[in-house]
This record gives sequence, structure tokens and C-alpha cells, in this order.
Amino acid sequence: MHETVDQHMLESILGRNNELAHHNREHFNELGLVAINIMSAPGAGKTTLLEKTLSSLSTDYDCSVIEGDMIGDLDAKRLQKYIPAVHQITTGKSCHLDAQMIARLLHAQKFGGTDYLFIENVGNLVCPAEFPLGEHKRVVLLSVTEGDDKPLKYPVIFHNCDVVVFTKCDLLPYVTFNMVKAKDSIQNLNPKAQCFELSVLNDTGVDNWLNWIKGMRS
Amino acid sequence: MHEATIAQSILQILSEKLLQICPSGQIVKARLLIGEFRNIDVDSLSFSFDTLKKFHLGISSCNLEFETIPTEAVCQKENHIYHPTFENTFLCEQCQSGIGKIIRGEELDLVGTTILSSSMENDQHA
Repeated sequence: MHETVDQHMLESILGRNNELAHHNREHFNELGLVAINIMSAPGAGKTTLLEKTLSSLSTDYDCSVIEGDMIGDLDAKRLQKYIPAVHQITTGKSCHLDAQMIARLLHAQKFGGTDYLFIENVGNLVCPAEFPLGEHKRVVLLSVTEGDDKPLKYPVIFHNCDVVVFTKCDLLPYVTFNMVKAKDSIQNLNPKAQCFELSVLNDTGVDNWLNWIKGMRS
Repeated sequence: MHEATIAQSILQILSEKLLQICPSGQIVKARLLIGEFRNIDVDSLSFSFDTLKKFHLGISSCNLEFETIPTEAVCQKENHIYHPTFENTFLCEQCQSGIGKIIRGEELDLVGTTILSSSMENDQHA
């Protein structure tokens, strides 16, 4: 004889990730570092922006990077030209970093003395949005070559971020990207999001970005 | 495809529940609430779950049942509650302002299971 029993519950499916993210945040706070999760589609310029950021910040601040990639360590090698503390997480088939990956690294490596920890997420505008890592700030890059419709097409990540950085702005004269439209869409999804427009190539707008980062420690 | 990670999380939760409630039983149904304002594709989640479940004792015949929760938001200007969608470019139909706060539609919860158990086991527990 068999019988069926219905059980009612309310359990967050990503509760474990969120608990670990909270745990990571406690570590970050104890270490006295600022953790910034940088997300974007592939090719938006995360690594290039980090190169520029590290070249400016690392003279005055102790910086570390966690580099998330599905395969290889090409980006990590680029960043190691600026700072030694670049930690690679190779996710294999996973399209995002999760809190457990960060927790493992936090327990395995030494981050004492770090002022800023930059976490370069796997290039993807969908999956990383679902997995908080414990970061203090969530930054989304949107390159002008991607199109001004991206906030409307990927609303979750733009709704749940603190900052949007428009990259490759030197290319604005050559593409149909409508900055007003893009900013309006972001404002409609997330009125608290701060926006920066910059080009690493011709060094415009980078100071505003750097000042925002430095402002978190002042 | 992060749905595979989410499927793995569901299986982990179900395995723990089964162990607590009825170790020799089988979970035949799990009910989920999925908010519309989550990046979750239900078909991908079902596919991932069905692929992975065969490796989990007592869950291999479990089917997922979904309830999608529509997004509800308070608008930025007039505090209207509205349904932000791609079609209305996430704007409030009444005052054309954007999302102030999302109050529903971000759920990603396990809300129930149906467990098949032998009455013999229930008698033993009784």
C-alpha cells in the first residue's frame, strides 16, 4: 500500500547562494575591502576597463581581481601586467560566477590589505544577474556597439545594478546608438542607477569612473 | 544556461527534504513559484531538472509544476501599481513613469512537494 502526502513549504531556491553571498559580504567587511562585481555581455570592455582602472588605482591602493571565465586565463594574464593579485575562476560550462565559487577563493587565498576587489563576471547579460556574490556594488557595462535597446531586452540585470558604464563612446559617431534612449530606459528600470560614459581608448570620462570608485573609500 | 544550476539547487533541497520527512519515499511532484521578472526559462529548467533527477535517489520520477507570478511594480511618480512588461517598455500605463519598486514577480521559491510513501513505513513511524 502506498499513499501520497502533500507537503507545503516556502523555500527560496537560491537561498543557499544568497546565504553564501551574505557570508562573503561579512568577509569583505571584516577585510575592510570594497568588492565590485562587473558584469556585461562578452566584448563590452570589462577587461579593458579593468586594465585602465588598475593602471590608475594600483599606485595608491591595493587591488585584487577575481577573474571569471568559462575557459582559459587570457584576461587574467592581461590584468597581471598591472597587479599580481589576479585570481582565476574557470567556470567550465557555467555561464556565471556564484557565491560558492567566491567563498572557496576567499577561504583559499589571502586578501588581507586589499582595498578594492574587482570581480569580473563571465560575459553574459542574463545569468550573472541571478547570482549575488556578496559584492558591495554591481556594475553593468554597456558598449555603444551593442545597441541602445539592451536595457529593455535584459531588464533584470539593469534593474538590479548600482552603476551602468557606457563603454567605447569614442565610437558614437559611427554607430546608431541613441544615448538618450538608453539612459531613459535605464532610468525607467532603475532610477537609482548612476551612469558613466567613457572611452578607454581616448581616455574620456575615465576620471568620473575612477572618482566614483575612490569615493567609496573616502 | 543557469537553469542547470537552479535545477541542481532544487534537487539538493528536495533530497534534504526527503531525508527529513520520508527517507524511503519518493517525491513525485514539486511545486515552484517563478516570478516573471526573473531570468528563468521554464522549459530549460524542466529540461535540466529531468536530465539531472535520475541521479538522485527518490526524486527520479519527480515532475515540476510551475506557477508564474506576474510582475507588479509601484511606479516612480504616482505610486500606481502596474504590470511592467517589455510591451509597455516597463512604464506605468497611467503616468508613464518607470519602476519605482517591484513588489511581485521576483519569486523563485519551492512551495510544495507530493511524496509517495509506503503505508508500512508510516505505520512503523507511528
